[in-house]
Amino acid sequence: MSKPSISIGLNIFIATMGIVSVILLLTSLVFLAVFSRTIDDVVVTQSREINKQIVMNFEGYINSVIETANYIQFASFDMDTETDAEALAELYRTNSDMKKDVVAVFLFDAAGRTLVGPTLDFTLADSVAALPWFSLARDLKEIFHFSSTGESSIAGGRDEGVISVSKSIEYTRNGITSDGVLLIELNNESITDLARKTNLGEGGHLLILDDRDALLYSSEPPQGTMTAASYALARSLYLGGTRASIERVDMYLYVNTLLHTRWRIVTVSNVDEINGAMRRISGILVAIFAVAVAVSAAVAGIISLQVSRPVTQLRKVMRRIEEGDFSMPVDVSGQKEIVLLSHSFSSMVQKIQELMARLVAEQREKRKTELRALQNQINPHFLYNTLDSIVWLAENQRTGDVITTVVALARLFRISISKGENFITVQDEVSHVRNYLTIQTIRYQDKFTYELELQPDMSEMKVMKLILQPLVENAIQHGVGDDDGHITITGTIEGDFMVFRVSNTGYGIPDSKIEEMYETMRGGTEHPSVGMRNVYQRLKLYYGEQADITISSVQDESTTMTIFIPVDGREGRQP
Amino acid sequence: MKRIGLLVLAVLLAFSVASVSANGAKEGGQIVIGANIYSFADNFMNGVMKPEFERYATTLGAKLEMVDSEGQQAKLNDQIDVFITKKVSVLAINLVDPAAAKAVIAKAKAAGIPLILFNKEPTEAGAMASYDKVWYVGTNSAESGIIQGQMMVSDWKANPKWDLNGDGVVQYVLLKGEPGHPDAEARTKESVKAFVDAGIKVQQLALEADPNWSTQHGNDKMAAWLTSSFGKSIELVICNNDGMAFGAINALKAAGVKLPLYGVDALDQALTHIADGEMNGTVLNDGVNQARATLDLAVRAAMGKPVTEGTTWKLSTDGTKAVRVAYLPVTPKNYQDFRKK
Repeated sequence: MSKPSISIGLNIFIATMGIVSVILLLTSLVFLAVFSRTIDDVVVTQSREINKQIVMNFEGYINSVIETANYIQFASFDMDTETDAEALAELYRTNSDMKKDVVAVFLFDAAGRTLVGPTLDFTLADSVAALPWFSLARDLKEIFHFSSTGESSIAGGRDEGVISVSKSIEYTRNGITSDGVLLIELNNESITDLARKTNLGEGGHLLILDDRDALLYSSEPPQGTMTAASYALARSLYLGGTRASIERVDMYLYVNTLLHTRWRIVTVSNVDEINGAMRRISGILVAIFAVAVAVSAAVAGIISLQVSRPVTQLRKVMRRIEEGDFSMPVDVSGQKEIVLLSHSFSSMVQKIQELMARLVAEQREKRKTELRALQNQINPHFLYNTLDSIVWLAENQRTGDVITTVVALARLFRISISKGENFITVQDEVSHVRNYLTIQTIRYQDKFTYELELQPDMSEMKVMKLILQPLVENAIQHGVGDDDGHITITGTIEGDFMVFRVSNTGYGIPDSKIEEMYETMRGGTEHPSVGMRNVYQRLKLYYGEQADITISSVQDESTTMTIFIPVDGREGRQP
Repeated sequence: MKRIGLLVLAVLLAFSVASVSANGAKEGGQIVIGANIYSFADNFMNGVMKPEFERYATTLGAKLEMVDSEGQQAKLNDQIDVFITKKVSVLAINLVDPAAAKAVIAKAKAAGIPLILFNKEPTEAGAMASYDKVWYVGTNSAESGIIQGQMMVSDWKANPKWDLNGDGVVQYVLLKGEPGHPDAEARTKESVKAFVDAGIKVQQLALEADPNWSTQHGNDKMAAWLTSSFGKSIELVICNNDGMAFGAINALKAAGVKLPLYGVDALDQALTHIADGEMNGTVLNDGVNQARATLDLAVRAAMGKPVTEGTTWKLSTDGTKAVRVAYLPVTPKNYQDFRKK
């Protein structure tokens, strides 16, 4: 389960934002869906109502036509076409004149001869019976037939387009009752006028189809693409409504029937403003969404900061402590849990500090012990050599020298012991070396000379004891050969360091040898020159990294070993 | 994981919203019949057929959704559209405008839903043939007129006093009903024809068409006629349905006039009027059996079975795909037989 780690703050932020976004998104979507459905319902209902209203207008008109026909039929019931010809003609004429939409009213006999009505257009005089409305009325006698063939009126001198309303009726001629056909011609404008009065919105239009699905009327240009599109839709729909996009405008198309006529009326209303409303609502929702997300982002950000900041603070402190800096106080403010955690952490740090202090103290004790052991190594080594030379002096009866040597040895040991102090004044250290040199001069029978030079103001400074003697011992070993050697010991203060130089004349030491010596000092290979190593190790133990010993050599001339000891060192703090 | 969970939740929610609207018709495989009555204001349709529809649908275990078309074909077209959208199993339609049959049939055909037309027969030839799953349940329009005519002729002959002016000619007024309705047209023609066929002369004083067959209209018209120039000459009142007849009876009673009056449908109220001597006869338009036949056919059509399978109904063989329920004369002598059991 190892995942790329995410910070607490980010986690809280993501979780909060996730939940907020999901809830908002769902709410918005559900709202939008419900809203759009409601809007759709409203659109459908509205469009249907409009359609129904239009249909009612048309049906009202159709009913009035039928009433006219019925009236003519009943009023002429007991009129004879021969004997009452004039009264009948008057009745027919009145009815066609009374209504401006009625072009003409005719009564034909079964063969299509005019019984009542205006003069026929001469081209039609013999062929009325062949006209579609005539045969329809003859075929089905009970009902009214509405036909619109786009033809003009059959009345002479009238050439406007008409709708022919025909019905089979009974008439009496010379006392004989027989079936004839009543024809009422309606001006096309009657329909057009009704259609024009309807308001179906921009691009909205109205079509009328006959029972054979032929287009009778369109309020748009009949050849236009709009008419073609809604005509095709209406034909496939038969009845009822549907939403459709016509000419890239959202329309609601509704097909209904027209009473008695077997015609169908198609209303196409513009419902595009619904899309506008939808767009507006969507815009508002998006805005609400954006604001809500922004607000919750801010809140989530603040909360996550409040939680994560103390944690980050704590982490910073921890990192400092990791790096070994215990100086920074663990003081974190913020949430209760984090404060408690920081308190716990603080007390833990304290414990660690205590533990570390104890560890340091223990280490120090251990070092001291170690140091003593190292210091103690010097004495037997040197003592052996000195006693050896004293024996040698005594054998040669050099009593004076024996005395000098023994006195120097005694002094040397006194300084060595120094009441158990590890640190002595530079003066004492130098005199310790002087005593040593006294002893060695006698031993080596003046084969070398030496000089000791000490910067006066450092004589009272404290320095770790017994550091110069091993170097001098080394210088004597290398610098005292067949020729008279010379050893120079200087003590100076250079910057922050006490610098002690021990130079000896001689062949010098090759670089490879110097490397070897460094190696030995650092505790690598075991080597006879135990003293050098002791000094180096002790210096490092007490003074740390700053203290150092360097070796330099000039071929066939001299070798110089230099001790650097920091002035402020540990001398003050050292017991 | 968490994120997948959220996604699933979102999808579920979206579905639950969508499904709320999706539970339409055919609950548990039950047959849903989308039916209408052309107008609940029609006494016969609302008082005889509708209750039987509701009762018999329960017997058949079908779900009946019945709506009122309020006498507007436009409204009915809308209702049919809604029924089809709701995916009803079968449509039982009482046309408002018989001329609209073709459009209604085409609509049902396009939706593939069986259609039973009842009570109003399509006027148009070929309409029934345009769809293999459309049938008609009704009566033989002419039959009611013939029966009514025969009743009137025999009563006229038995009651010479009815010829008020003694001219041997029947002066009648006629409440026709809806013009263009096949029943109205056929009854008008056949009832009068019965007199002519029996060698009795007739004179129509007035004829009034009312698209709603309504009692109110019958009342108004009769009252107007009684006070008109020919008011005193009326010897017979022919009503093409009982509803209009009730109106006429009211008007007659209000004017204190007693005239022979005939209706069609044999509604309960008509039987009462016959018992009270205010009505001389009616013809049982067997609404109960028409409703039963309609539902029998509808349920079988919905199941895809032959529509008359297991029933006593007979489909006519003349290409009209019609089940025709017979008419019965109801007279003062036999009206007791038609009282509600």
